Amino acid sequence: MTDHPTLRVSNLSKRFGRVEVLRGVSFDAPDGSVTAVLGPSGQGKTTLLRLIAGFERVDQGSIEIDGSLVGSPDVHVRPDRRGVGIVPQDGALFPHLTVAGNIGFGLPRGSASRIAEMTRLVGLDGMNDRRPSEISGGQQQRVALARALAPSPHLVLLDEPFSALDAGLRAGIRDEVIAILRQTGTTTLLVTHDQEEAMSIADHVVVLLDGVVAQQGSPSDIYESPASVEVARFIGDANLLTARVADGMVTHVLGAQPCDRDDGPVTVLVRPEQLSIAGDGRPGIVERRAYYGHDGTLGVRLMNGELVSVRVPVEDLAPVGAAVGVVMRGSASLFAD
Amino acid sequence: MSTTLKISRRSRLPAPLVVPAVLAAVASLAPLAYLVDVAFDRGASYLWDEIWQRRTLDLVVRSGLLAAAVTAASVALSIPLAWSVMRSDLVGRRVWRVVLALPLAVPSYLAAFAWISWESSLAGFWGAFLVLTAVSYPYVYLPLTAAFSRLDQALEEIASVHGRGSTTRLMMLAARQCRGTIAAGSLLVALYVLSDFGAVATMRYDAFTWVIYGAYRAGFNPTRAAVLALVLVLIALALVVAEVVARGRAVTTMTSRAVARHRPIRLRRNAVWFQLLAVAITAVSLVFPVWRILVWVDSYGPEDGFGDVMSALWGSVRYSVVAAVATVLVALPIALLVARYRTRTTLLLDRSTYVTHALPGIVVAISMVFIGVRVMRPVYLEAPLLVLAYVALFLPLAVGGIRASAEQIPLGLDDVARSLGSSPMAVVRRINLPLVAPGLAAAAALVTLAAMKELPVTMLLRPTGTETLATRLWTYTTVSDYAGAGPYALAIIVFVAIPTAIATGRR
Amino acid sequence: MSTPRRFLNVSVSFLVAGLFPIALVACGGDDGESNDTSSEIADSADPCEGATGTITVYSGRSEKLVADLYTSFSTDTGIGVEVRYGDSGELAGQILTEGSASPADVFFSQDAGALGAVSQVGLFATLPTSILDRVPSEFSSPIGHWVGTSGRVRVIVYNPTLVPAPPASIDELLDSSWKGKIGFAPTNASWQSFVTALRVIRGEDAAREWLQGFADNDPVAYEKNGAVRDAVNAGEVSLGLVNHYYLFEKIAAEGADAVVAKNQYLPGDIGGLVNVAGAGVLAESGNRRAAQCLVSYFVSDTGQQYFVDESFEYPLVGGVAPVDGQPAFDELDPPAIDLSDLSSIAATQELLADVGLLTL
Repeated sequence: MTDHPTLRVSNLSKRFGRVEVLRGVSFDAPDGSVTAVLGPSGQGKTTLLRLIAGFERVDQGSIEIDGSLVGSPDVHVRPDRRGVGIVPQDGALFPHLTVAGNIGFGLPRGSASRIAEMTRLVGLDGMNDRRPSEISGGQQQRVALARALAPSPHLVLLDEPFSALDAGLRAGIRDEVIAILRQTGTTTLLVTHDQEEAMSIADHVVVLLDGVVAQQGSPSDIYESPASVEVARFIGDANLLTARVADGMVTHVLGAQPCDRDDGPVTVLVRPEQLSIAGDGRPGIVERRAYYGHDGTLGVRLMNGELVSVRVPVEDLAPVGAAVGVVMRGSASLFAD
Repeated sequence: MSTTLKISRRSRLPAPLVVPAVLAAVASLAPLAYLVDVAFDRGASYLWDEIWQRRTLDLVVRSGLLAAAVTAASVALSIPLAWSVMRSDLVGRRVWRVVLALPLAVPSYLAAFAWISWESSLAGFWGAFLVLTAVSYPYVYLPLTAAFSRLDQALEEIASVHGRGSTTRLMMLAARQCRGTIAAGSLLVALYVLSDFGAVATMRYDAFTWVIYGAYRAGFNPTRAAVLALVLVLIALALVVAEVVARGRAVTTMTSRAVARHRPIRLRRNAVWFQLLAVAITAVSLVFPVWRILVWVDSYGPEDGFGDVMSALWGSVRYSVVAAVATVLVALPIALLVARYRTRTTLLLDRSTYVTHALPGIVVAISMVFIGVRVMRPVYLEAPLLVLAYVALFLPLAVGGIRASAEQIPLGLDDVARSLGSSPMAVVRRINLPLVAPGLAAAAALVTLAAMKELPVTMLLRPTGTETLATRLWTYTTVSDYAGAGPYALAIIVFVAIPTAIATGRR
Repeated sequence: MSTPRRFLNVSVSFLVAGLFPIALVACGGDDGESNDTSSEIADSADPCEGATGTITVYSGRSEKLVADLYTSFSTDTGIGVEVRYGDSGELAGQILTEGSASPADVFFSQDAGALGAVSQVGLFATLPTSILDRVPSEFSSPIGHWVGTSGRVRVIVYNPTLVPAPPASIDELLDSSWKGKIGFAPTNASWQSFVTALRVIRGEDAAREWLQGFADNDPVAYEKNGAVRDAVNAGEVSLGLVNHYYLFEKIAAEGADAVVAKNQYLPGDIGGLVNVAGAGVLAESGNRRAAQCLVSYFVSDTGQQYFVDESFEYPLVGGVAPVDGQPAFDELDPPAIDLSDLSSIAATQELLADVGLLTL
């Protein structure tokens, strides 16, 4: 049965009353992979996750786990029989149970050795008898992960699992959690609105915009070749410039490049890191200036009135009002208007 | 936040909860079915004529006036009392916190006897107002103290920073944050006043309950009584709807921490006013009735032996404790459904339990007599029917208490437990029940004391040949034999005050 | 979500459908057909012959007053008695609500009005003549449904220091010199019985006229008769309309020295109405013989003497003497009235409400 992906979502739709929350969503999460569902808040991510977990019923389309149908308009396998683990945003530890009680919740009685194994896996040895209120937020998240993994689920769903953590802790815990998931070879579906998080840890990213899969692919595919202006705008900082195609060439304020489009107006995407400051660049005036320590960005108003964001090393951070030149590396992505 | 679980999007309701909940709600509507039946006994036109009478209108005005006045006074008293014991540096606030809840332990008829036996000119509106306010303000005060304890201190700090730091302003700011709680408490007070019999009967204030009682009792006119009771139900219904509307708009800023630590606000010179208020309220609602009872006990001749008092006490304790356990068991499915699966259906279930609570006890009693003797003849005038009537009467008390603690359990816990292989009922057993257990105990205590105080239903449905403290007390007070009533009154105070203290202390 | 809602609807209609036929049956049974079945065991010389078992009594007379009587009855006859104490009106209401399913075997009421209400819907059995003959017929149900067990006479209780010459008729009370000086208990059953008698004997219009005059004299309302008596004794009001025994109760409790108030009896006046406590046997009683035995005990010499001693009421059986200091029963000359008519309390209350003496 290895030809089945661990999770296959096909043409999935869901509506609440008049609101169509998901429309024709399809994607696969291959065995052992980390797949991120990325999208802004309120665009159907949580609903998708709840459908996969079995908390909601499918209106149209289907959900298969390990090749068997668990959700369709006619089939609904109860959440307790899907073998899907969940790690919610706030951990949702059971406050009346100890760490060991939480981790062992989904295990049959007498699974002490498995509990010990999981405690060790998430690095919480010796905390078995603590209550959730007695451990830190990061530790709580690790308990939540151990609890989800303990019954050896087919699939683990992570619902914004790191967003409640302090910024300083977040990256560390995140890397730790993903390392554990990869170590156990668990197929993981991560729901997040943080594109940096998705890009940095996922093998496969599904961009969900307004209930529709706007694009899916590897993080670099999506970053470098966004399928639409919306995706481009959502994934990373984007300079969107007006441009015109004529005779197989697209021309915009920062340059020109060949293309195979019909003549007419288009929009091009240029990432801030494709731009730099140079005396012989396109002239402009610095309007905004942001200092990040390791580097910074400048907002430069070009002669044609367009404002572009330029990522610059610290030494190039010109003051507001300064006249600078902007040059572009590589090529821009094109979108039809 | 994308992770906020929309309550309205819960999956389907688990049948093991729905079936008992629906049965309980329907059973608690049975008295209403009886009323409708009797009210239409003489045809719709008679019903109409009865309603559109000047005297019926007068009755609505009189009862409405009393309910409004008592509710307003209860809110006006509870805000400063609850605020000063929870959020200020009031001296002795820990003790006050409990003491101020104790008037809940004083039955309205007992308080009314205490006052009228001392000063008979209190009879009428002001006497009823005084007594009902004294015994029912804790319905606002208690939930308000809980709400204040969870209130985020940031608001007070911000207000102080903006120079709005006067004591009154800070208090009103906190109160505005708890409008939902105040609305819910006000509903309880208003419903209590509308359905109270003891105080208005003793104070001879012609409110609905007394007139309904008169129509049943001496008038042998069950139709008019039923019509009036139906009008009362409609008023209660309007109140419930009003509360839902008021609660829906209210926004509360609660801290996410279980118990907010905060620095008490310093009252400084104002402290004396808050102390005086607390002393005055306690004097009127607690010390005075207890003092009167002690006067009665002091003049007690050996009317009844110690054994009579003990057997009445045993009757009270036995029935009310059984009733409390039964009520909590029945309330649990409803409370869990409303808290965990909020839909229009579950809200309807919840609200339907209020109907019987809003009916005067005497009406519930008569309808239980009617239904009981026909449908449950083997247990008629036996303990099970009495317990059933208590359950119908006090269901909303228990549902409210359990629901409040069930609502504090994040819904995410249920989802996680489901995904870990628990069936819906296993979730109830392994997650919901352990977490609402403190709420269950508090609800049981609340029902116990309510049942021990209850008079009309106990009077009509108690097993033949048994007496309770309340029925004994009533027997003596109806013949104005206050000395004979003394020991029973004292026992009620002592044995109802204990569960009250438990219910208060648990929070 | 639709499933539970549908279920709720179904359940409600099931419940309602379940209750209504029952209600109809209950209402349909009120035509008094039970009278026919009573004669089978009536008129044996001794109603207690062969009576055994346990009976349930709904006692509108208070436990304090009659508990000992039930005990001595049980001792004398071996019949067990389970007593449900309560207010007479309430218990009558309970019996009416219970209908033919009532667990009560005997209803012992404080007043004739409550008995009349039960009699009117045919829930009483006819008593044997051996019981009915013990008591003058005017103090029992004319159709033999209940028998009077003791009598109370309406009097004017007055404070002699304020009222040297008390009125001899209720009509004198309408004189404006009594304005604000009369106490009464508007919700008291005996007062309402008196007004009912006024209606029945003088007619609705005359009754209304008297009540209007009474109301115009601003009488002072009290909660109960005892409070009226105390107010008179304390001089709060000059006189009050009460039953005769309240004075004797106070004398017994506090001693003659503590009581200045006196009773003015009203022989020949409608104000001197004699009302009775009485008892009847329920038609559906499962143990009618034992029930009749208890009622016969009430009108036995033992029972009658008990009421005289304990409640200072008039005995209704010849040969038992009333309390010292009371006029003899045959000197009372009460108004002639069928006491069963006193059950039209609802009409009385309407009238009282109309003239402003009662709030409905």
